[in-house]
Amino acid sequence: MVSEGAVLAALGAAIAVGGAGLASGMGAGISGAAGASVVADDPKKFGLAIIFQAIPQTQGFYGFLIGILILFGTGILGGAGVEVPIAVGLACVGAGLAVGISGFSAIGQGIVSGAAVSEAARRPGMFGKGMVFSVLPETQAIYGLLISILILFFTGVIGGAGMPDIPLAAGFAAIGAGLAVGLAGLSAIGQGIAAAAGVGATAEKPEAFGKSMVFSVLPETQAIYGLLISILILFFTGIIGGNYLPQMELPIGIAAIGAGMAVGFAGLSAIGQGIAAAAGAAATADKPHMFGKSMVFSVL
Amino acid sequence: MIRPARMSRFDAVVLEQDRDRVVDALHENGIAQIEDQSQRLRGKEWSELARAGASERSSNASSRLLRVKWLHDFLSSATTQPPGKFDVLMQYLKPDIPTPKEIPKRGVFRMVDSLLAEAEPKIKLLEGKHSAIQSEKAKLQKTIDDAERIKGIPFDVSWLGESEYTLTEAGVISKEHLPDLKDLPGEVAIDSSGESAAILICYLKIDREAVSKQLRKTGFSQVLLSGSGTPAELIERSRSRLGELELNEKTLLAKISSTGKKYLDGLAACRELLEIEKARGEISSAFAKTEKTVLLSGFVPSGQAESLREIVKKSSSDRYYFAHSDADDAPVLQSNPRFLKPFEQLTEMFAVPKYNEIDPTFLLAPTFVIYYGLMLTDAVYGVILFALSVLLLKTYGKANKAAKDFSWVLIACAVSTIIFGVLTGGYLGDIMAYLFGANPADLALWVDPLTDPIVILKLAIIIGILHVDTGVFVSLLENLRQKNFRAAAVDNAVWFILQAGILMYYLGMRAGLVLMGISVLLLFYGYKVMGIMHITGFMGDILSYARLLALALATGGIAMTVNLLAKMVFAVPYVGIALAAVVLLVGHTFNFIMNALGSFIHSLRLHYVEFFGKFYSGGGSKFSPFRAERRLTKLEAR
Repeated sequence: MVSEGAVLAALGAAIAVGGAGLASGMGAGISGAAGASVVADDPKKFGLAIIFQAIPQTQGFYGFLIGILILFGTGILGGAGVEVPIAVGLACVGAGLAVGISGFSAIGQGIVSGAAVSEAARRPGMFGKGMVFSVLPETQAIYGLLISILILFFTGVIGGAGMPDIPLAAGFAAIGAGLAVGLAGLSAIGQGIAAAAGVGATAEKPEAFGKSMVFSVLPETQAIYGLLISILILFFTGIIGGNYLPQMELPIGIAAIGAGMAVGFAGLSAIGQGIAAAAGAAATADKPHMFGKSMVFSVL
Repeated sequence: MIRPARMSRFDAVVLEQDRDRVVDALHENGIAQIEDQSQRLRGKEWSELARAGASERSSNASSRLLRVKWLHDFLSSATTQPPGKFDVLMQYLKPDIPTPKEIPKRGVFRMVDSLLAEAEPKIKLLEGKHSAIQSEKAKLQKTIDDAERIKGIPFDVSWLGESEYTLTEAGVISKEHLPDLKDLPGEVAIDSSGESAAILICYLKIDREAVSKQLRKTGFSQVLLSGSGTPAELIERSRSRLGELELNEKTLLAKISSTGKKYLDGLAACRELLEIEKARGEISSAFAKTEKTVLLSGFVPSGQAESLREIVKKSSSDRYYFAHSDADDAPVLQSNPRFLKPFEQLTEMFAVPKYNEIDPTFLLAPTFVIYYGLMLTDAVYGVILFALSVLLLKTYGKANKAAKDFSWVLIACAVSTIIFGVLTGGYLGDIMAYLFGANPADLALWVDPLTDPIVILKLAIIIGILHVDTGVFVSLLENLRQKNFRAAAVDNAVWFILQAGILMYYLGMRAGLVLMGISVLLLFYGYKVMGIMHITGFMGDILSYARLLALALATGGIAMTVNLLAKMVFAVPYVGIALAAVVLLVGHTFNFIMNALGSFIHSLRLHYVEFFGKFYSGGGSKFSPFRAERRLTKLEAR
């Protein structure tokens, strides 16, 4: 007999692995296409292309990791036969959403590593700098992973402390937290666009590296808001720390989902910001005095 | 250490007759950067001086360099095999480190000329033979290819061409055009056994116009052959000649190879010597001159200014003028103690410091290593990394300075990883639990990140606050030093006021709110409404350090997953143990590579974005002394 909680947990694992895997595939496809053209030009650059193509694949691993943790923690795999409360199942869905949706940062990362691999193939000095740019949009995936782990830890799925008695609302709140960090993590696509422009600017002018970095991390702000809201949701609903409000009603959980979606979808503005910042990085590479003005435009 | 090395600007005047000797001495010692004087000469007070221009030494060197390069390239391309797959790897594992050849201090051109006089005719002769063979081979190959196309028709190729009244042509057309040949005025022989049809056609000269027009329509491609015998005989003869030539070529290549052994090293050394001579000739275009003297000027590390004077004094036989003074702005030479030197490249990758700016290498090195260890947190991975970096140091590191420095950085990171691995009980994830039943939580000297992530999260945030504050503090000191009080208040002090306020409020003191208010007002004063955004930015910087925890979990978690999968396949009957070994090997190799790389880049990012962003801009130009690059040669010690 499979409980509703276990089904929800399995759903969480599926979202984690499926979402992150799909996203990784898309990202690796983008960087792989650039890598393929580099290899076509010069077969000796195969190793280089592989390294850059591997960068957007980390998201898939984070998703896989969370998926496995959920399946083993809830005893679906390994056959420990733990009874999974519905609230914990919901929390697993939240953890899955956090890492699954934020995994789409791989698309942003694919865009940068594609740009980076082409430049690194032409200029050996660009390898290290290209790597740094390529790893920038991974931040969002790491935030997603962090929230997932926090949710799983405090709902007792991992850590081996046993599953505490969690109000249903807390389960919904966990979904809200997952949505906040996950959707806000899509800001990585904007960051990818900005960082790809940064790669181009730096390749042309090595001294533009520092300023291009500043532009490239601008769209990360939204991800940080998402992370912050996630942590606040988890904290105030008592998931972090385990002090659940005694009479926490379902509406609080639903409200948390609303809050998560609000900050998450607002985070999508980062894609626009990324495009503006990309233009800013390019303008600054051309004319250093444009730095201040471009910054103002990009922050808007 | 804190700032780049102090630099002095120097001016030296020597007699034209001593110029070459002074240049030689400067180039060998390589402590000074020579600056171009043309900018200065535009000033009015310098109108008496002229630009010196490159000396004839450089043209003498260039012309010889061209010949030496040509000979060297011919010998090395004709004697070396194309590199195999492992040769490329071996270049890194066993780099070719030449023993420098001793050469006398004077008479480079004489040495080069005598080598050229001996070697050039021999090598040219060999090259002549070699290219003759090559071109004959190409010609024969073409004959064979052409004859192959029409060999189905047994005719004597000497028939081809013009006779008194007739023309004979051979060629190929596609089979579908064969019917078009029916009404051709002339005799046609056709062989349609091949893919396309071979034809031989003989016609009267008066029909030339009509025939060529008709042939053109059919897409006829003519085959031109000379000699005698049937095409098949021609092919056979060409093949046997080709075989002969290949034998000849082999003996010739052996001869070239032995000649190469004799001269290659000498030529390579000459090449280096001539490059050096050329640089010495060209540098004088950076000088200014009068009729009898030359002025050279540039930068030298202040500590070495007096030794530079000695060098000029000695090489000019005491006929010189030399002066130096502290420079306001100068090229940058990072000067860190030996154990920090390898980290300079990490700073440099972001930007070379400005001359008067702080050199953040000493701030970067310790935290970089700590963050790396915190993110990789696995003792076994640390040991593997240690072994790999020592390998790099002992192999490619011997030939390449950057690789050597890099391997030292990695060694430091590996040690830190081992320490954090032991503290957190990570040994290939939780493999000890399977082997000895010891969970990471039991093994950990301090804390296991997977069972108690909050401890590491708290640590990460505290590290973030301290690190960002350090950056702000350095910026505060720099702004105060440059009397930039406004920036010191709205960019630096404001954050300390804000944090103090939050801390006081947290401890229950109402006064904290006042401090928080002051900091917000300061931000508003500095940046209007945008200033408020800076608060979230600042918080974001600190939250960004949470990646220290997330990556530590990722390493341990993925390693754990690999072990779990290995355990699952272990249960497969018969082949389980082999499958488990494969899963462990592949899984851990992959996890190691991804996370060893990821930890490096994320540690770098925390420094570049969150830390450097607070105080460091860089943008200086690197000190590049006028120095002879010798790899194959060294000067005779008198």
